Amino acid sequence: MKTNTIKFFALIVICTNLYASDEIEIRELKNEVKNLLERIEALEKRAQLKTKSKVDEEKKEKPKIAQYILDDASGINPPIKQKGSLELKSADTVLSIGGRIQLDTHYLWPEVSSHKVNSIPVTSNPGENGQIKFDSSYSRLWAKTRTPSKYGPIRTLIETDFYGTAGTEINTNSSGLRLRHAYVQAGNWTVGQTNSAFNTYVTLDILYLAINDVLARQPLIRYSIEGKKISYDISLEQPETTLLDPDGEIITPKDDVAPDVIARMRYYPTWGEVGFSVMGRYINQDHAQLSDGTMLNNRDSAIGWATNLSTKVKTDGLDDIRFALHYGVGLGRYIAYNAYSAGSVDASGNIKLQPTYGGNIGYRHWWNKKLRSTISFSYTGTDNNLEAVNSSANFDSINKEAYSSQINLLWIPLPNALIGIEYAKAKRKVQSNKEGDLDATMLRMRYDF
Amino acid sequence: MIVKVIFLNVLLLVFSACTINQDSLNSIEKHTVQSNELRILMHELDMVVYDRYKSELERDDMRRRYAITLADNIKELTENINNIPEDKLGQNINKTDMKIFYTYLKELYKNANEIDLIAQNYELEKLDSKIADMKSVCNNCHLKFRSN
Repeated sequence: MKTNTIKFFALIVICTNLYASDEIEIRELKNEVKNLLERIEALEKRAQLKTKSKVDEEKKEKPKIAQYILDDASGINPPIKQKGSLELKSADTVLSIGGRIQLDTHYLWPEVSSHKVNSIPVTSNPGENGQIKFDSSYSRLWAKTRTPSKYGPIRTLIETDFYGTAGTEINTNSSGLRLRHAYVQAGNWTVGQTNSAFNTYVTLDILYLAINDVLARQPLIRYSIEGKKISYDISLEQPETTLLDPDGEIITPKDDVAPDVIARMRYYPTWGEVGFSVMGRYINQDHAQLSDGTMLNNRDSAIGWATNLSTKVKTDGLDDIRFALHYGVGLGRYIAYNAYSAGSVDASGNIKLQPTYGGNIGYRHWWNKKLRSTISFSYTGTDNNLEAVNSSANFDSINKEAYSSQINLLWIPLPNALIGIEYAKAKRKVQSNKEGDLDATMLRMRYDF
Repeated sequence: MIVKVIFLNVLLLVFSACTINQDSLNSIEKHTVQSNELRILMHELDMVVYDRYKSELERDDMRRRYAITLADNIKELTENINNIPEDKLGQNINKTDMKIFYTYLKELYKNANEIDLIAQNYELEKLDSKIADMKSVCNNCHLKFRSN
């Protein structure tokens, strides 16, 4: 009995031990599994984080070329097949290249080179009536960059066209490259060559240049304050004095000592757009040479000023009416492509500035979303200081006034493309009271890429 | 000459006085007026390329300005739609549709913010696709709810 009891207790102890050791093992195993699961979870999280940061990095917008260079470095791109490469100064720089292909087909009578004041003939025999002329020299090419900086984006532009030295129409019609714009904009500053702040801000939607065009592209330093509705610019620009000499010729003394100073306001109300500029100029001659070769033996100067107001007012639907007014004493070369001088210089070297004025008005109507027309009228004139001009001078070459009427039909066959026709009739009057007329038609086809 | 300038300024004031006073319109009429303004703005944005005198950077400045105005107008429009009483939105709109409608509205506001950001940073190469996104939100919403 005793032996049986001992056996029984021994069995219970063994079973208990067995159970206990199993329980410990299971607990240990469970702990191990738990640890493993935690490690797997941690590893998965790390892997996910790595993938996310990689995807984020890929998602982050980068300039295409910079991205290509990065991909190239990391071996993502296929083996090098290209013969060259393009490297930008900064990986964050965005480079854009674009331009315009333009073909103008003119038919002008009498046959002259353009629809500018100085081109309109006033002689009794103005020339043949008409010659068809194809011209692609206004095609453009530009490259611009944008680089982020702590002062905001730094933007640059170089823009050219082919309206430089003209070739002949006999064989190759070569046209020389011409610099239009080369400037940088950083923060509020613009430095380089570009449109003058005095230019007409709201222009007519026409193909031929308006007869009163206020346009200058020149080197400048400009400070701008951009607002949501209203912006301001103050600009110091390349000066160039032009004076009418006693022989009735416009001379450039090249004696400028101070930049032209221009202040401009741009206003963007819901009903349209307004640009208003005021300019101050220091007109100077210092022992200048007259057109007959005579050297003046004195120095004289004068302060000129001018204003330019241009406006667009929305009317019905997409239609608008645009008008501009310019007036200045010493406005000179800024209007009508140097048709008038800033003032006159007499034989004694005294400068007297002259008032010059101009304006235009045009109505633009949209026939539908792709077809539009503008009808416009523009005028420009000056009051020459004839007392400074010798009676023997050629008064036929001294412009007095000019005006032009234009009408067009412009079609947008596809985005960035334009096909347009225009008819212009212009008149020029010179100081001898002779008048000349010009009729011009143009077919323009262009595509911006 | 000064008389001419004064006359012109008076003319401008008269034109500006003739613009519609939007405060006098109800919310739905406002939406119609604003949609029309947006269409004109987008058209003007497309027309920037045809400005003959401006340099490419000046064109970018114009695009940027139009884009910022566009974003402002869309934000104003979404706020205006958001203020339209639910019973005036349509007779057969159930709760699910209403949820969809407000999702579109939220998406439109998000697009406006993105357009604004793109314009502020001069990243104008991204503008076309973002405007296309915005147009598709508008079109989808109109397709679903205009018949109501």
